[in-house]
Amino acid sequence: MSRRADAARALGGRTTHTTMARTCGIRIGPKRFELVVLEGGAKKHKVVATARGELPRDGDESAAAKVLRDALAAAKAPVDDVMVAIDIGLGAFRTHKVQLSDRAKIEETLKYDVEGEFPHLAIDDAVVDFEQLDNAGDTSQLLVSAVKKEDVRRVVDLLAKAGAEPMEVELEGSAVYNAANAAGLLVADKAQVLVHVGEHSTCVVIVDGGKLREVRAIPFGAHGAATAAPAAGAEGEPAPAVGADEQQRRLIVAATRIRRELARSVAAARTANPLDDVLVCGLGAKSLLGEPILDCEVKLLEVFGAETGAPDSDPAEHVVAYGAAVRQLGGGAIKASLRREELRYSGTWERLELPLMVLSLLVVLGMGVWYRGLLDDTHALKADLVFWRDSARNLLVPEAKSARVGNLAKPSPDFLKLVEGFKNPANEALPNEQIDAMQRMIMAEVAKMKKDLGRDAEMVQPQSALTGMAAVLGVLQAESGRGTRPSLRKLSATYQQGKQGKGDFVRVTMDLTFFADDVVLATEHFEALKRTLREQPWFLALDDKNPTKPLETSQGMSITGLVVDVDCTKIPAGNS
Amino acid sequence: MGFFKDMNLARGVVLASVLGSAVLGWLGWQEQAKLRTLEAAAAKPEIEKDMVTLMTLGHEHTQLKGALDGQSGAGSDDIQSYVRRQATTPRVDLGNVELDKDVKQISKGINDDVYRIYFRDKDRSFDRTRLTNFLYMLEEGSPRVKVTEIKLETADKRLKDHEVPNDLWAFEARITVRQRTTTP
Repeated sequence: MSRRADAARALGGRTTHTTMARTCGIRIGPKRFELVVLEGGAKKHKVVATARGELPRDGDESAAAKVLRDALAAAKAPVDDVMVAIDIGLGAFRTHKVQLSDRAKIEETLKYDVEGEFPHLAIDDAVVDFEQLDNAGDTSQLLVSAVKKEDVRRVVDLLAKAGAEPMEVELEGSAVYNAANAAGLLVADKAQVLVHVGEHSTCVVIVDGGKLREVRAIPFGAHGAATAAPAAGAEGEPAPAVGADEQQRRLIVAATRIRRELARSVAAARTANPLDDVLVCGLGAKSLLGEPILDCEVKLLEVFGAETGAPDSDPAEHVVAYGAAVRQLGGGAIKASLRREELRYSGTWERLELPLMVLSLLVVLGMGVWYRGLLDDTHALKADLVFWRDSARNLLVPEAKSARVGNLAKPSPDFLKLVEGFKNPANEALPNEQIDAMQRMIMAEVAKMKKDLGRDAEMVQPQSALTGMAAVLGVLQAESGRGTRPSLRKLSATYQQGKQGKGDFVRVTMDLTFFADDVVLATEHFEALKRTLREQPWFLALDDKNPTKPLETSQGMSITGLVVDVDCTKIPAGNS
Repeated sequence: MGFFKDMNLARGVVLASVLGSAVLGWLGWQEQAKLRTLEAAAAKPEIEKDMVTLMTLGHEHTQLKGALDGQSGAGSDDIQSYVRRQATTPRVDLGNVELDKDVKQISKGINDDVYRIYFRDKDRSFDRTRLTNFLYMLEEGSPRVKVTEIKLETADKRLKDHEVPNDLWAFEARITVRQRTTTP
């Protein structure tokens, strides 16, 4: 419910019903309850269910709640649209004049204005309600009622246990008035007395010209006074059985006493119009009928008509419940509110919405802080990477203005366009992506140039005859250091393309003379040269099929067509 | 639904906060992914490695660009000019050399342009230092040029085996420029 209940309270207890609303009015007295379920609108409605019963007398709230729950269920009462009227004996009434006319301002100050008028109540423990009887200029005449908070709380808790959510709580007086008003029984040119007889108290409402004038509570009801309830048994014990004759006798005694009290009230009533009728309802109301009270005719307060339908039995007992239900339908002329100060009963959402709001605000705040932290971290990292990116750009790209030489001596126009684009604020690429882009572009250009130069892996370059020749001559040079004295006469080095699965190589062909003291020593030097050549990692083959020839001087030997095949790919770097 | 039916400030704040949290959560999730990428990229070893790679590539780019520019294209006229230029550099100073071009197909799409380098006067001779400098300069000046054949013979044709020759040599060489004829 409870947005609806809150809204109803905000509107002064009135719920706006459009079509075929269903409400429940309950009167909860010290011993009994009555409920009426209405369906329809404020002006036109009908009774769809009624119930009444006795409440456990031993103060067992669980049992009382069960009785109420069963009754509500049996009547199919709308448990979220309930109005409660409580015993008039729980309230105290005063008329009070204030120099204010605005209801809101009156509410702000009234409670402590009237504190002295309710000496039997601790004002902080009481709910103070009021009704504006007259309003002349800046002055208002109020009917002030006060009820102990604990009494209101007890009723609300009881109904909550029974599964109902009372929208509002009022005293029987306002419910009786609302019932008579809804039934059209109040007349403009007369004064009337409305009486509801409860268990231990009787509610007297003086109405003058159709307007509420005064409310009184007579501390005596159909079951006698509250302190001398004859029907009450000891705690935990069932009430003693009372015979029909005894009940009749008690009713007569009660009626006599109530009539006497009513006569006093009627006599004391100061009304502008002549008092005409005394309209009675409640427990044993019929016992008050028959004789007039101070010339005022006593009649039953008959609020149920053919249009509304009537309870199955004793409609006079259901008048207060009817008045409460009518008010809940929006038909109440008086909007008493005894729940104005208490912690209002709320539904799940109502109870949770404030903590949820705080929690959700904290969550969104936390998320905001987290997101802001991420943005800060990202910004800091971006700044770091921008520094690296700009440093890389400065190191790579030459600048004529500052005579800066870059690692890229001649950057391509595409590369210059790329790095220039880094300055564009619309460029959303991250700095690391921009560094990668620079790298990718240079790699692509390097690959293209390698291809253009024939240095790519797909095309093997021919081996260098110069390198192969230098390798062989290097060995010859080394042998010279060991006493060999070679002398070249003819030298050729030719690149040979590999065939039949063999790799490329360089063929070095030499005619040379070995000088020595004699032919044998020269031959040894030649053999040593061949051995050394064969030990080289790049050595492939050696052909010395041509015979050696001693020199004419016998101081050496010569050889022609000495062939050495060299694999230049195996020549260590730096030796080529 | 009861929550929306009885909307009030508190519920509005809850609703707005939930929506706001969802939006912030989504944005934060994306930002966190970006942050992780940046953290990985900005890690010192990683960024230093990237910088070293960039600088190395820059050097290589410069060298290759220089090589391309120095060679100035792949036409035979350019190669011949290149050879003649190298023949006249200091410490080589061979003078005018003759060049004949021959083209050999090595494999599909790859040709060898072979240039024979010789002197019109077959009796011209040079010392070893100038000749080897020339051959070295040919390869050093262009990464595309390879010396694929060298023929050296003592200038004195009547030299006996037991005689020590002068350091004067008749010379002939071939260089090869291997290149693609079509895009593979």
